[in-house]
Amino acid sequence: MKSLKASRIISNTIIYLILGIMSIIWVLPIVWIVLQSFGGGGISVRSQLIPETFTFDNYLYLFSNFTGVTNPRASNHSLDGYFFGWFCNTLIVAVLSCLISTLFVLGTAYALSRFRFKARTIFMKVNLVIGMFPGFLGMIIMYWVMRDIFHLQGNYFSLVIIYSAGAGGGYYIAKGFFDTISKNIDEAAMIDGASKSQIFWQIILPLAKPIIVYTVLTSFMGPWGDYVTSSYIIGLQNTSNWTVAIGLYQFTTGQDIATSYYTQFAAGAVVVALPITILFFALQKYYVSGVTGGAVKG
Amino acid sequence: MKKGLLILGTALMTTLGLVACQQQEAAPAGDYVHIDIWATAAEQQVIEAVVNDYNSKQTEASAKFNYTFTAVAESDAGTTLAKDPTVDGAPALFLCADDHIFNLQSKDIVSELKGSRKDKVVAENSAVAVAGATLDGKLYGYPVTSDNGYFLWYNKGVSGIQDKVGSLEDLLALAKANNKKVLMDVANGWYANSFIMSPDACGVDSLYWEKDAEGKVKYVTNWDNETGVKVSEYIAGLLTPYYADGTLVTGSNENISAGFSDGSLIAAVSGTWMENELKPIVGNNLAATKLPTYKIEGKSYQMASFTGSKVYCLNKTRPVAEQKTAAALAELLTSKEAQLVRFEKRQALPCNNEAAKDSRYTANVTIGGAALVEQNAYACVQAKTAQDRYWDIGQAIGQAYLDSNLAGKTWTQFLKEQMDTLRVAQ
Repeated sequence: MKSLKASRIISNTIIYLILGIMSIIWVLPIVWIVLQSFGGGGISVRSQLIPETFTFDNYLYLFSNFTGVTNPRASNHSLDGYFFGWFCNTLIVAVLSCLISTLFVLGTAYALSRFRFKARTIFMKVNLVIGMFPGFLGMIIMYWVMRDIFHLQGNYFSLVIIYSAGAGGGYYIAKGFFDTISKNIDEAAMIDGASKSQIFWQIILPLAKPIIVYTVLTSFMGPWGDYVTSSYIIGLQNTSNWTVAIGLYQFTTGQDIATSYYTQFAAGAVVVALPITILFFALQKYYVSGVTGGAVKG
Repeated sequence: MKKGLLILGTALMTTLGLVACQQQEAAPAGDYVHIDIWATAAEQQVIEAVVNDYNSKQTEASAKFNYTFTAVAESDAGTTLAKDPTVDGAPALFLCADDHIFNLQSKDIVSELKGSRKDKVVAENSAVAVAGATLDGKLYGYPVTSDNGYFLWYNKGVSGIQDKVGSLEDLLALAKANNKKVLMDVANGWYANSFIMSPDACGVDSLYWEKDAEGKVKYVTNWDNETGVKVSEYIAGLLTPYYADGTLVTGSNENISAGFSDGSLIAAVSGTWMENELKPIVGNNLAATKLPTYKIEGKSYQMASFTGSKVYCLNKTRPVAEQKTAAALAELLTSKEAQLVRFEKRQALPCNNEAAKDSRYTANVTIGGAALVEQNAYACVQAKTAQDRYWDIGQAIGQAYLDSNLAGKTWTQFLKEQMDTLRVAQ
């Protein structure tokens, strides 16, 4: 008995030790970037964790078109005053594509879960195979379609189209969740005279809150942090149309930018993480049941 | 009599008319069209100042330059245009780094300058800058500045350092004696060439690439000759102990600023881009000079460096009228006066020979700028020397200097093996 207790204590100690080390490894970069974002003084990139002077100027710099704060170390001011615009662009892109793709995903999932129609299984299989190809294989064709057919190259609205157009293909988890909602509910509603659309909007969706939250979160985060698509569609020449991902990347590259904008970059990274963090905390309890909910077979 | 006068008058009028016509034709003002320009953001003020000044002297509207400026960094302009030279708002004139010209030329995106235009550029600019804009003997752009190179930054507050920065051996010994460090990113192809390419060793032209008949790139090099081996053996013998005991360190920009700010570094090999970062850290003790020499059997070898230029290029995919305007504007923007304006406004080092002699430049040159110009006498043009395949080889050689680990080979075998890899046409 005693040895059982002792072995449990030992195993718990080991587990907590491992977990502790892992959490330090995970949290340290975030702590680092937050501390650097408050770093003041003469140098931009420093080797110590805690800066010797603290300042809020790096954050004020990001909104320099309102605050007038510039980077005293910099010789190159080409990116001053753009961050707020990039933030708004990204927000517009992320919110619009989030709304549209959530609708697409839920609609597709509902149709595939509830309706039986010709080629339904073929459609699902084809979609599975197409989904195996990484999205960036379509990069070049996407560029030319956006440039020559839609004439939206360089415009961030083209990103909304790209992000949301293919979203319906990622219906799997939502369909899994809808499958767990008993069909008896649909039938009862049908007997009461509800149409398919009414069943979807008024019966199924209120029952599917966790999966809606999950879909909203994932379809918001994708566009919010994406660099590859936004950089090739918008292009480096259209500075005011950039998203935050391109902007922050530019803070860390370039011959005379990279050496003097590190703390501003850190502040930008913290600001960019805020909306996602808030969203996550607010929707956390739904999120977990959303991720696992789709996997339950009823 | 009356008829005679009439004929005379008509003849006179016609002649005068012709003369007038001739004069009009000889006038320099061209039919300039509106063009787009891509250049780094800091260049906008230069273009504005130079073009406004020029336009104010013109009376004809068609002789004035009319442009739209878009800020694109020099390092991005070449790659962005190589992806799609006809993108919306594609420029007729763009400023790019000289190592992009190879890629742009192979995709037929950049126009060649011929005849008098070429002669003028070659005559007026420094050889190093012209070489950067030249490919297979053809000129592809108007050099703007040669500012991308490296030299030695040091802290002149360290006692006795002024006498030691001229010699690599002395500098490292001084650092060791003071328990301090010297930074040079030797295990990086961009710096590793510095020893072997010394004009006193294999020479600044000892490595370059060329295209064969099939368009494949192959390197011409003699780094594996007797001199190359001798230098490499000596440098590895010199550097390895210092690297092992931490006197010689490698690292990038952030390590340099951190090292100077905590006082552990006394000298570092880097470029002009560190000046604004280092000034507040090192203060009045910040100094810079050309790279040191090293000594083998009593003979001094001056360390070499890479250099790169910024070049105004013409986009070949734009209409001819736009390209003509762009060429005229580029000529104006790289003239002596424009280069001096550029130096005043954004501290870009002039590559125009006359501008480099002008007192407006010589009296105001920055610490790093002066050192770079000094070092450029021993520099080779990176765009012509090193392309994709060199970097891994350079890194391997640099790493071997630091740890003397040749996997059981001699330096002769090691260098031959590395150079043979480069000599294969690919």
